[in-house]
Amino acid sequence: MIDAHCHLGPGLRAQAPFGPLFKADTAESLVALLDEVDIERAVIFAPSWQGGWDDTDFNDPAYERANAAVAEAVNAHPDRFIGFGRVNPKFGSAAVAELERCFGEYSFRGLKLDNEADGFYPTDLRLLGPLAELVRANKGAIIVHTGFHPCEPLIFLPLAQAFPDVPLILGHMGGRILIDAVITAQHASNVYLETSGQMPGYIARAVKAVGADRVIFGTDIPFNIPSVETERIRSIGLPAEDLAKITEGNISKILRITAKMPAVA
Amino acid sequence: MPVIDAHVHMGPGLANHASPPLLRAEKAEEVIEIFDRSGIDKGCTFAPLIEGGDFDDYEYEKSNRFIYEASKSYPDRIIGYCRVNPNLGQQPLDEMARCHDEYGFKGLKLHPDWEYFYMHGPTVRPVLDRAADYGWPVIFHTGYYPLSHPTLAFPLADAYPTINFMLAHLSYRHTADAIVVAQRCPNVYLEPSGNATATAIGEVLRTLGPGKLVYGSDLPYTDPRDVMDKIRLQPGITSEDIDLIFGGTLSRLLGMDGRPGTRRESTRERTAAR
Repeated sequence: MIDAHCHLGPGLRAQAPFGPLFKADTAESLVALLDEVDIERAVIFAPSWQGGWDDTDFNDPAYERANAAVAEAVNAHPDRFIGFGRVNPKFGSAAVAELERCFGEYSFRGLKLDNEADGFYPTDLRLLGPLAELVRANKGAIIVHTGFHPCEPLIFLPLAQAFPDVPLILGHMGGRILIDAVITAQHASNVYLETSGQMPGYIARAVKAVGADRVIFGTDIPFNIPSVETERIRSIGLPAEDLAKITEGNISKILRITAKMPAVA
Repeated sequence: MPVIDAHVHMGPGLANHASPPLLRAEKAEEVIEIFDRSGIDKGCTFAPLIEGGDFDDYEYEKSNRFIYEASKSYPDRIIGYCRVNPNLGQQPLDEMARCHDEYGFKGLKLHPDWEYFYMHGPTVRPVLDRAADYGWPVIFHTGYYPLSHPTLAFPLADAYPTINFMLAHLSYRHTADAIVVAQRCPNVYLEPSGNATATAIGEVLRTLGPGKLVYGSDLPYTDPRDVMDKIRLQPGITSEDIDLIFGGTLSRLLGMDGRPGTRRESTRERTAAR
């Protein structure tokens, strides 16, 4: 199994008011969580930065320290972790420079964006365009957090359509507004729906609507209970072939992951 | 070039609003007077929302009839638009047929937030199928998440390529998203009525050009001259831009510009011709 949605890093310690359920602030703690549920590899990226001060907490609005921590974890476990960079597009050229570091220095494979946490407009391609160009140049993928406003799925359609060759993974497949995630996927063939936290009936509906080729397994560890996420995807009665695509095949194809090669290219 | 207002409310429903609108527009004469003093030649005119009280017209049948009568009294000034509640099943379809066949209306107004339906939801689809048959442009109230957020127009614009959609109020605080929708969808236009800011209007002009902005006021809830000034006083705007915005584009969408082929023949007309 490959997990397309995991958080790691010191930022997890500063999460408030809803802290993570489990410890994943170090590579070892996250590996232990994955081992329990037989997840072989995981795409990992920083959690949302939720404020703080340098002397007491974790001060990292530009995700520079968070990305460095992800890189360290990937270096320690290249066969387990695939790194994604996280930036706040509002920082403009500084965000572009940080993403360049993520691909160049850290050999990350994609970009995580969350406008609910970081407050940017997903339709503002003036800010997102240069980041998506970098992802395209590095043959990576983008995963975004989706759900209710301000991160409703259709708001990402312009980005998906402007970069049709960049895979865009809708984290949580829109949550309660699954229907709009499905519509987004139907309007852009590069859009994929990711399962973390989603209700089992909705995952089944998503597979029916867009096909197993466009659905990707993710857990959102450490904010979700690992075994709940893995059991859910197995419990909805998917044919084995579809299940394999969702839990491994699709993300492997997108990120060109092979069994033998280390996760870092 | 005649000045056409894309967003005018009129009718007895206005008398039952909890807080009265700025201007009086319960009678056709009152609306014509506002038109005259504002320099408006014609207005796309439809019912106000039904706010309860003694005027019981949740199906908009009395309201549409009132618009029809006003359009008969002032055929050169009042362009009748149909308003329906898509959640009421067959009734809105029957009412649309009456508005088209009997009243000769030219367009459709829908309000997702007031009538409570998702702009791209299932109840609105039969209504839009019918609007496509009639060759009507459709003006949507937009601006509130989740029912009338402008990005919900993406699937609609795609599913109904022959319908020209106008997103009213520049989608309020979601103007940035409305701009992206209009940019990507050839059949989506933006309309700045009500309290769209001059800055938002300027952004539309800079990013989309004058051809995607269709003047509308939301009379009588605001004074049309206020909206007009926010457009006319934009820095750098030309008289050609103003002609397009204040009626040039809209007359094309309504098939009134005399150019052949701009208004599509409806299914009903094609059937009748055979």
